[in-house]
Amino acid sequence: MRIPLPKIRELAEALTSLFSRAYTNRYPFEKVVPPDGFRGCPRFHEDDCIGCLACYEVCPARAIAYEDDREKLTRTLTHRPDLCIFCQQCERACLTEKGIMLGKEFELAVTERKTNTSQSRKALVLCENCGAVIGCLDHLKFLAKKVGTLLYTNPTLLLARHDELQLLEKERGQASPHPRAGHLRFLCPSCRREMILKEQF
Amino acid sequence: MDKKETLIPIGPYHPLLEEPEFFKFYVEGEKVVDAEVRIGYNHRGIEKLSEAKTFDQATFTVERICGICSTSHPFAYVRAVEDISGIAVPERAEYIRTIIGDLERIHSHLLWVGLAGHFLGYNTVFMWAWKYREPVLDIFEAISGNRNHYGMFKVGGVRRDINDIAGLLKAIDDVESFCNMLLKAVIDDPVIKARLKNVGVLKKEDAIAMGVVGPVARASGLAIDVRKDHPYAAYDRVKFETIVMEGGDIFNKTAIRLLECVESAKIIRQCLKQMRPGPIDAAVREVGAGEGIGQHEAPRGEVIHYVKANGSNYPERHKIRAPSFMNVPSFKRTVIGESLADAALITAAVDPCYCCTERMAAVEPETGRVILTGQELVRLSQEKTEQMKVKLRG
Repeated sequence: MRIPLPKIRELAEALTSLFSRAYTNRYPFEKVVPPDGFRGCPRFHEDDCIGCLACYEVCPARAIAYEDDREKLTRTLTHRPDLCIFCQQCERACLTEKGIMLGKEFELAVTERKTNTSQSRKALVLCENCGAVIGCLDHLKFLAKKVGTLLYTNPTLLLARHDELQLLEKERGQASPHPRAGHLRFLCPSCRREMILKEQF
Repeated sequence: MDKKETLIPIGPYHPLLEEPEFFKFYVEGEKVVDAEVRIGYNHRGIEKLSEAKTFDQATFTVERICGICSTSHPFAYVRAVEDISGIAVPERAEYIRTIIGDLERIHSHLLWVGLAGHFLGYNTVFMWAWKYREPVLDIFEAISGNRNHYGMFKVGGVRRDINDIAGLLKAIDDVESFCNMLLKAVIDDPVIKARLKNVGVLKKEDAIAMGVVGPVARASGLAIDVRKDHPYAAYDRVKFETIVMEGGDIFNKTAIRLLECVESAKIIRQCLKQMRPGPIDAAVREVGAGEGIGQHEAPRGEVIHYVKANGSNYPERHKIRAPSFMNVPSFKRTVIGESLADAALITAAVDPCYCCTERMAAVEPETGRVILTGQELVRLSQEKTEQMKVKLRG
């Protein structure tokens, strides 16, 4: 039988395929190592997370949710891999750049959708006057460090910094003789504005 | 309806591409005498959804319109948003956009060739095309971190830089030699030629009348290509050819797609060589108010995005015209007079992408009819190829 020319080329390809190593790998026995820069599943790193909600704001898929517990004074951020689209926007937006990071994890199959989440639990600071949420303590501390000496213009940040230096209890324990001691409280922006106005006029 | 005619409904899943659509073929014996196409089974509300996202977030939404040509929608979308207030994109970002856009063309065309091969009963073509598509996906993984849904585009630039240029050049050389091999293997094969030549011919005047775009139009002798006609990104700085063929049959459509893969490899190589270091993002702060239109030559044809902004951070209106929306109705001209064994292949030859197209129209399900399943159609088509093989050998 006559073999047409194209068939010879195909035969060559077939022979090389036959004698070379299998093109596919024996997953799941043989693990795949993703390259650097792979967009795997994002995970919260509680030590570096400051609870600023930048990731929550920027997430296009709304895969990050948060819940404020006013009783226990905690904020819980939850990332759900089943909603996540691995776009890396959370990692880009993260203020500390380490609070939420994409890893190389890609085997995310679970039987329950809402499992396999990662969480970050942060201490919450409420306004001492009206009880509104100001932010997470770690966030205030982060800002206090970031603004440098400007810190002394904002008592809320100053207190957060003092909390870190463990001066807070000492300072607030004393009944201050200073007439403007009311300033030295954790206050939300609107309460602070109100207080300053009242004092001025 | 004449008594001799039989109605054969196909769907609501495409027999080859497994997406929702519905065909009604009126047949006399084996011959198709009339066809009805009905789409609109999968309304997804993407346009409305995008109004609830910021301009930056919406790039990820439009990226998920389609799983195969997932860069073409963000490409057109960011161009539309940049058009609103004339945002200038850095040169390096334009090259990276071009590279991503054309890598995607290669992988999309290879995917289609593989599926068409499977449908013909040529599982070797299927295996080869998908095997050689794999290195392209690996390139994507190395560049963007994702094998699909690259998330590279943003208004005013791209999100990631390309660093390993030497490695990419080598990978592109490999891809090009694969494409050339596959091209020759498919074009020279006597059975494929006999099976596809003069099947599902779309005449030039029909192509103009139906307003088809992309490889479907170019196979019918219409030299339309957004990359050439209205150059954007880096397409005016690279040399490439628009492949045009006159036949209009499935064989031409296949050949055009494979030849375009080779052209795309050339474009990518030129881009990699011409790229100069520089910024990759224009750091857009505000989009402004106004209207913008963005086009992109997607693997399936021209995709158009229209975005209206009112000065806020959210689009006020977002309109998308996907290429398959123009190409799908051409079935009505191509399928008539063909046998039923060819019909499903013809409907697949335009590489319809329903996930792109399905954003409008009402749903009216057909009930109480015997539906020819996808497997049966594939079997019909594969049997015909087997008969042809025997005939050609004999």
